Amino acid sequence: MRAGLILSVYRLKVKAFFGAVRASKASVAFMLFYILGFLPSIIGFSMAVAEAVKSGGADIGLYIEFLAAATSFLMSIAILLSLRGYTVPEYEQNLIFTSPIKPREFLVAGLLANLTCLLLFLTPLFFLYILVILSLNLSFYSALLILFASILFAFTLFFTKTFLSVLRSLYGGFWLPLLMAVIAFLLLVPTLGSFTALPLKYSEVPYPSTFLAKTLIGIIFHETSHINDLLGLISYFTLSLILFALTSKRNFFPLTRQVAVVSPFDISIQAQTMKVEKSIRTFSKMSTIFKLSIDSNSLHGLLIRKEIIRMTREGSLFAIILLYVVVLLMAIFTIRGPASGGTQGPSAPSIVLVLLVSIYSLIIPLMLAGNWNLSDSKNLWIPFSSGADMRLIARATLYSFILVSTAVPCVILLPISIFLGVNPLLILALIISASFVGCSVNLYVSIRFLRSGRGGAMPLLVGWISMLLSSIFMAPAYILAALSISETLLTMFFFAALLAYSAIIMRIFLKLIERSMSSMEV
Amino acid sequence: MASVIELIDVWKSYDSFQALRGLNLEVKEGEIFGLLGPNGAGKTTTLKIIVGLLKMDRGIVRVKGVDISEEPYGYKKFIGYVPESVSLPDYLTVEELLIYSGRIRGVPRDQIKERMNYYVEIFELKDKRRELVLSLSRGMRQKVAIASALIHDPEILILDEPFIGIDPAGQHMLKEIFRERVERGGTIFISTHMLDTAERLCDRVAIIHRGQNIVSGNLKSLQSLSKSGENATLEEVFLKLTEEAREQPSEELAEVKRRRPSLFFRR
Repeated sequence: MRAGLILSVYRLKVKAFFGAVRASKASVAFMLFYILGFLPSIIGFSMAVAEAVKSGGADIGLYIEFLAAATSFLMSIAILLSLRGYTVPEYEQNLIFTSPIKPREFLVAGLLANLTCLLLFLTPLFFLYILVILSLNLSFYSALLILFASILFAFTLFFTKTFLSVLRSLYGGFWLPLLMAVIAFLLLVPTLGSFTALPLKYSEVPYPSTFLAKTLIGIIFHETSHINDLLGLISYFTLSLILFALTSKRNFFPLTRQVAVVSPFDISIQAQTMKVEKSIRTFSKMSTIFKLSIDSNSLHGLLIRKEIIRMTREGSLFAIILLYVVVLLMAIFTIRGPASGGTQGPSAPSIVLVLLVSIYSLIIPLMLAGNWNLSDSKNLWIPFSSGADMRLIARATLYSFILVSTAVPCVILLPISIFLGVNPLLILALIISASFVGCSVNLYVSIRFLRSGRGGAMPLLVGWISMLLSSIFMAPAYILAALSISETLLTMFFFAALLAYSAIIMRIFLKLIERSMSSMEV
Repeated sequence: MASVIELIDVWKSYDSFQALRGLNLEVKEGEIFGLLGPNGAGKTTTLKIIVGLLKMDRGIVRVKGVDISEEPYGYKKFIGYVPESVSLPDYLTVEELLIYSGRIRGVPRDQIKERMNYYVEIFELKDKRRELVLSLSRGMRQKVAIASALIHDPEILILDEPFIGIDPAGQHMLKEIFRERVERGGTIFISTHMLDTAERLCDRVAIIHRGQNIVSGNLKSLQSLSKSGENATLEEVFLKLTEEAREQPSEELAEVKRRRPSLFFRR
């Protein structure tokens, strides 16, 4: 193996990953929030562990079960991800696979790069490690052993994932994916023991996660029997290394699968386009209900129809329906579920349903505007160069958003609100208000970003701004909902007032959208 | 012949980059006009300003005598435009896209139907008319974009690199369409890097460099202006006129070659 070549590929991959983070200030801010956000939980958790160890009354078995379940879940996810085969972004196919690099060299570079990139996300765990060591006054040997066991497990996980991904790329078929899915399932089976009377426990199965959990908990709680578990972990590591070494000889380059994103922070137009294309390929097969017909009477109607076709064929409509079905199920289970012991007083269903509608009705406009931005904003050159009235395009886009974000929740949630005895007027008011305000605000923010030439801005940043603005303008609706729950205040008068207020906000933002769209450069 | 497109002292910048520096240009009625220039010369910017996708910083653009700053919408009914990198609504079928393009341009329904049938026939898209744009090859997408630009039968057709991605038969057919439109009094304004095609197809060309029109006219006048000789091809004229742009990289390249000979291939 050529170390220089491996190092070059490693550098390139790491730069590609972090380049996407550096490309947007929002990504950097997000990473800082991610790391800092975990700190309070980490400090609290390490203190709890220290207290449990010092008090001596902790249930070690429970800690083992918990840690083994968490790490088994990670392994299971890794195996399920391997089902896609070995995936690479386009630049790697074009740049690296066309060089004289050998598969093994590429895999080693990839493994090291993945570990490096993962360190960024594992920073909170690293803080936890330091705090646990310090608070428990563990010896240098113990600290080293914890680190060693963790690294062994991480490598086992990576070797296994790489081995299975390559194997999946080399041998498609039916049995291999089935076997992988079964292994992923088996890894999670002992979790059932926590919820049912089944005698299933992680501590009784020879999983790598069990060995890791027993080793770590054994060291932390000063148990002496962790050496055998460490040996078990070493065995798994060795096995995964051998399998990795064997597969890495095979030329899997022509069988790799191309993925859109270089890293989770990738906001490149190419990555976004690939995502949209994939959705259209999936959803256009099952959604041929709507068609753009030449016989549509008004141009406005045709434009609205075109937007609804887009939402249907790119999957937005399906996602919205799915989301509201989840809301519906959540509402039913929370209100009528066995744990709640039936209906809990007159206001309980109202509180649950209002809370769920308030949260989810704001997500829908965000999703609609985000998807429009991804799939249709780049096609604005067509109406722009046609001399069409851009105000009409703006209105049609907004009205289609409002139509979908009102109709879907109304159809799904209004019957259930009547069934649960919740005032349907209250739910209707919230849905309409969120739709009017949310859609206009979200579309406006998206267009502002497009207009300023930052159309590729991180969706998270656009999302934050949109959600914040929407929530501010939705405040009257929330206040009214809160008052209605407690005092049954929602009369027709308040309902009408809320609708009028939402319509005014929508009109104001529509004017802003029209103005921004008319003066855009594409 | 009357001017159908006139650009007078047009300036345009992107942040610190000056794309156009007082560009003057005139396209006459009934001609095929080619806009040539090296990469970054300002060709796409020029076309985008004419069709209203970009706003100029200053200057005057007239299309059929209409100042587009004063009347920014109405003149577009005379124009059909195809950009260089064609992005189309992938979620629509070919037929739906043509309907959409026709309707937003205010074309009557019966005419949309008629022209749609005509263009899917001549662009060999008949089998694809009910397929999603997403499923088309690059060449096919280009053909759909051109059909969409022709759906309102515009007097002026503005195309940015129209031959890229189209097979030789398609290119031939496209040239036939251009000639046929010009015979009917239409005007074609294309931007291209394909100098041999421009030489055979265009009545007149303009060579722009660093946002300025360095020369325009027919091949004969260009040969004479550049003193390239009467047998010089458009490519030779182009290279001579843009020599200044070529010289600098050549010097840099020679310097790199001198200092780092190992970087270059040797048998």
